[in-house]
Amino acid sequence: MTPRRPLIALGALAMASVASFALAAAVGSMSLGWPDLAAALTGEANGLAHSIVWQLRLPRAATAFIVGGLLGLAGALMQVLLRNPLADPYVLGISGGAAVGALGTIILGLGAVAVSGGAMAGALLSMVLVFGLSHGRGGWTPTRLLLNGIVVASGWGAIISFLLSVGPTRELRGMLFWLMGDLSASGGPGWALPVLPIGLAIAWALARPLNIMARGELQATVVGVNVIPLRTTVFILASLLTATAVTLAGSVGFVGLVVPHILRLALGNDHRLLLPATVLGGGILLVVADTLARTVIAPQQLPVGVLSALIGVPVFLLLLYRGRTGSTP
Amino acid sequence: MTLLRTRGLTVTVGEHTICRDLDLEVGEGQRWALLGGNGAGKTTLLHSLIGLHTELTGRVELAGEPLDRLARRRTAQLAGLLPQDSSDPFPATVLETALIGRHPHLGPWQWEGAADYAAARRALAQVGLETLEDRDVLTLSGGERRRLALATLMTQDPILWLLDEPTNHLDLHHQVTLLQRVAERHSGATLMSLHDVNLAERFGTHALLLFGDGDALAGSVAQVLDSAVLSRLYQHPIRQVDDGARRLFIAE
Repeated sequence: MTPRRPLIALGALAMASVASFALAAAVGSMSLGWPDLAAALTGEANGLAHSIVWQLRLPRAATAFIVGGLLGLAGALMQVLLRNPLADPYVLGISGGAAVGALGTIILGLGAVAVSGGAMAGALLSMVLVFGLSHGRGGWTPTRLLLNGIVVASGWGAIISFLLSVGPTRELRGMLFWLMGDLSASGGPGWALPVLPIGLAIAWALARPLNIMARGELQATVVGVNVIPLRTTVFILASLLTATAVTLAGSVGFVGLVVPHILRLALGNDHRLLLPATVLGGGILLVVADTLARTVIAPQQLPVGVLSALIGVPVFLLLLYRGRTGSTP
Repeated sequence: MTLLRTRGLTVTVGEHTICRDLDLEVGEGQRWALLGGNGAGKTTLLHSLIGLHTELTGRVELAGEPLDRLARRRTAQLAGLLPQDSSDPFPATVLETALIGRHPHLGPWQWEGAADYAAARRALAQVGLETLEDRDVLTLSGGERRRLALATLMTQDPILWLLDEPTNHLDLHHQVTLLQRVAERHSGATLMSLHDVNLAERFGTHALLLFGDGDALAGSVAQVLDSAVLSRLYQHPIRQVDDGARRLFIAE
């Protein structure tokens, strides 16, 4: 592939990203036409439109974009790490650990900051657990890592069910919203803002070795890739990206599976193009889904995970139906 | 020049000894056939020679440099392996697959350039896949997949080729043409595991026999291959037939 085609594809995705932000800024309880929106953006409009766009809609869209980008990137990385096109960021139990941490703090009645802290702590605990279990004697294989991850995720699933059973009724709604992925309480991305560009830069630097690792670890080693440090880096990076995303928005489903999938079909499997594309594609999907989540049955808000899954499931089934998803295990 | 040298090489897999105190010298222009029964350790030995199997004692040198002190990338420039099997969970084109071979020759931020594409296309033409360069590898037949793997190794262009059952999945015509390509190479050396003694006799200059109990026998094809040794190697009576031009080995 020559570098020109990637530039065209990434340029198109970047324009679509800008369009998704414009949509998010314009649509809502107070709809803005294009002239109003332009005026609000430049600060020439009345105070209300200006503050709605700048203090509510755009920060929330930025958070949605970052969460979607993180999940898209983490999904693409997990797929290579596990050599399985059906892997997603949650398959190794990161979201389960985060959910247990978040639900536990919700039950204790602690505030939003503590919930985020609990989610992050649970995600990191899960990452260390899976890494430790998989790193025993004999090294790890993708199959062993996947098995450990699935078992740990099932364990978290049981604890989540337990917490939902014993949790106080008045907190149940908040707990369910967290599990489905929700941006309604979120302001701007804050501390998480630099995580996405830094994560993408690290991942992109590994893109060509990743292309080769996708062909199998034996082939990768034969052509000079140091496989063990590479996969350790990819595991930690994908886990941290996922942990950041779930800390911001709960476990938003399907973005991390569907976005890398669609883009693999559309653009091929060169990760030098695919990784930045998954960031933009994931971001666009979640900005659009979140805009729908707060408008379709306004004034009530839906969890964004409902909309991303409602968009994601039919697309995923369509892809499977077309039978071009590669081999399934 | 000696491209591959082992000194006192003992390779083990758990309790099983593949070879004991093996001294081997593979020189420029030589083609070694690696023969042995199922489970004798042909694949393990090939993997040991490029650092993929590390349960060993003794020394391995590639082009005079000790293997355990070579960086992975440098090893990949000196020696390449045609793996016994390849699998592809993700779709990719034939040309992209051959281009993988350029990895050890490119800097970390470098994209494949015109010269790399030319090398990959030349390799594909050598194995007769030039018309399939845009095909998805998942749609290739077993034999086409095998020839593509060889093209990837040709694109990598190491001086030492380690071929693990290169004739797997190939029909008779392609078995012979593939080994002819290997034999036509002007520089470097080859060590290839084969199950067909007659191909070893025809295309090998030397042979290394693994008896499965740690014993090994190395030497020129003319010296090493005879019906008595082969009968011991395969634990099966093998008869030699001369048709005037070449000698053939036939299992009774």
